[in-house]
Amino acid sequence: MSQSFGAVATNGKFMESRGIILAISDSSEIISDVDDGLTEAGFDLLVASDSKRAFEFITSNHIDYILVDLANIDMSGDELVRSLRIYTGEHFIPIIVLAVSDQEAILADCITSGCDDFIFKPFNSTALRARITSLEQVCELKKLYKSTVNEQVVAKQILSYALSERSIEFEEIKLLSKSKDVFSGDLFLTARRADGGLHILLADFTGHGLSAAIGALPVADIFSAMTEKGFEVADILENINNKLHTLLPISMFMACSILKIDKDLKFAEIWNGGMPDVYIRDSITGDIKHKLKSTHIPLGIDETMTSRFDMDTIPLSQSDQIILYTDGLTDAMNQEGDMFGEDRLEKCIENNKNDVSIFTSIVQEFNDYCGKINPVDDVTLACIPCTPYLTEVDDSCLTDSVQIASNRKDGWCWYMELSGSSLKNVDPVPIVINEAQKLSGQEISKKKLSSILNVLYKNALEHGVQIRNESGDHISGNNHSEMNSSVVNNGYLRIGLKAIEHKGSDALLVSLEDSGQGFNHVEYMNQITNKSAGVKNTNEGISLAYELSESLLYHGKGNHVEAIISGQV
Amino acid sequence: MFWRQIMSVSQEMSSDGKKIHINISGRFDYKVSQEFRDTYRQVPGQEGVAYYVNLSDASYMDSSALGMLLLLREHAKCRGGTVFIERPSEQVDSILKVANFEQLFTINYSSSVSIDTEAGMNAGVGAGA
Repeated sequence: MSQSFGAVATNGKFMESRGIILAISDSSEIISDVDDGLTEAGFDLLVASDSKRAFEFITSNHIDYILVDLANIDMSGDELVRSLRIYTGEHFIPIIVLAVSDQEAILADCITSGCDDFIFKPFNSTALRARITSLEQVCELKKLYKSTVNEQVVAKQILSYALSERSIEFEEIKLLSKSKDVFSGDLFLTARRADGGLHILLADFTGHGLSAAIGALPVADIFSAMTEKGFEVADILENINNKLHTLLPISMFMACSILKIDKDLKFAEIWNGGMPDVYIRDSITGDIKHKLKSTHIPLGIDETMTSRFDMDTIPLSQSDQIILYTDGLTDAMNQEGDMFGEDRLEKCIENNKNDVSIFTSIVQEFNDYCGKINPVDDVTLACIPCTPYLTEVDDSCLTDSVQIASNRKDGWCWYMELSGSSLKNVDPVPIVINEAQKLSGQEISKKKLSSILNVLYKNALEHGVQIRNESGDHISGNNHSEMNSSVVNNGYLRIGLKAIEHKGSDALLVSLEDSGQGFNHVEYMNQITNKSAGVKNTNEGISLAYELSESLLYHGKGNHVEAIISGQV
Repeated sequence: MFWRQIMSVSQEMSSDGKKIHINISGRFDYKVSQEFRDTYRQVPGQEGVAYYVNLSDASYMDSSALGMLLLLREHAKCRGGTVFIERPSEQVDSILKVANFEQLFTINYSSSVSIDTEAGMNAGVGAGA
């Protein structure tokens, strides 16, 4: 018998220890029974005759199991079990209570206090060993579960870091996000457009947990990289769709709503595929001005179909708020099993007309309704106020046109022509920006170049290659999928870049020529240059390009334009 | 207390094996994915089968249920078959509408084909039907 109070008793055999058992009892008889049953089976025994000594052991030794002899200790059983649980903390150490059968009430208290198993005295060693063996398996499972969760937590940190690198955070955007598991299948991203505008994406992958989160990274990659390169939302959506179609199993897809907010906060382009309604709320009147329903199938299901990525254009004002959420919010249930629901959400928005930032009211209502219940799906709610902060031009971007002393006195020029189907399928703006950056060594601000090119390209499409409707609706960007191929087939667009010297410093000459019928550029340019006339510009885009460039000149019938862009800010 | 709905998936096949009716009642979610798959995978492979998924008794449907429909669609597509969604209940229809699944499936809102099953030919696959 190893009643060696305070020292670890060895089991006397050359076998690996199955664990250390702390027995708390001042009865030498019980200790002897326990010892007989367990040291034989490969366990080591520590014996504490009172609670004080037991706590000393727990703080100074590694313990795997605890046996509490209810009849022979110096404090009440349930109190001791509760204190032991506090001492053992996060480590799972099974507590087994040795009880006498008439102590049922005490036993019940011990179980509620956190003991894991019990055995009635008198017991035989086989029964005791059986109990410990079954708890051994529970320990293994708990360890396995814990290491899985730990692994997920680490993986989540890596993923969160990777995602935060691919998205900008705004203090103004209020975000509620609750995930069902460690990983969330919901994804919220923002990216700054080269022209100062903003792209926002809220997505919801099928299911939840790791399998749902795994698609987030490629989506974030495409979203941030393509936005930065100057691509429009329709192109980004097409790319994400193709990527997810090849990446995800058939039963998985990504519902998403994506927004482009223009730099002047005058309009938003919205696409909704499989998400709940996107709300535009006037924060002054408190009313929901627009509800944008899902009109498309989610991404990743089908290969691209033309016209699938058409955007809805909504006029904005600076008092507007955009409210986005995933169905986890409305599908969340209260204790009675009733869903939070769209009606309750809309009612909450209606009832809080005076609340400028509706976010807190919604979160409050949601938490009151179903905050006590763990969500069955991932929940995301985002409130985006259309304040100038969102699209404010970041000065650091403008000044990063580093002044490099030019050693290219020999100069260079670059040229591309789009015709036929390439005119339909290729967005030349990112390509031209890319080439200009490579050739000019970043002397020209990307932001400036991108803004000017976008304007000139859009104008060429509107008045030249003619793909717009007759009313000349300027708003909906350059959406290639809308092009009428019969017209496009005979058309061409030539874009040239040339390094030149302008007023003694290096500059870039951009030239665009198209096959279209042109437009009354003389009148336009007069309006722009003659500001005192007080005429409202009908084409603000060209006026912007005029202001950004050193010189802007339309030639002929208006189908050829040349702009000089200097490296100076 | 939660009132737990009994969910069930059952299947009927026409005598010529060209029509398969799949009936889902209760919550149509990830818990029935195995049973749902069994309704079309555990029948002898035939070309050009018409699958009728009856959702008139389904009370709810989650995104994994939409995924199950996509799997069935793929299964049918590979074998020259078609999938019809039959009489979706109001709750389920709103979910199908958000996902715009009418662009991928034919959805029938009124009772259509009746099945010419012979007694004994019914192959029931169910979870508590």
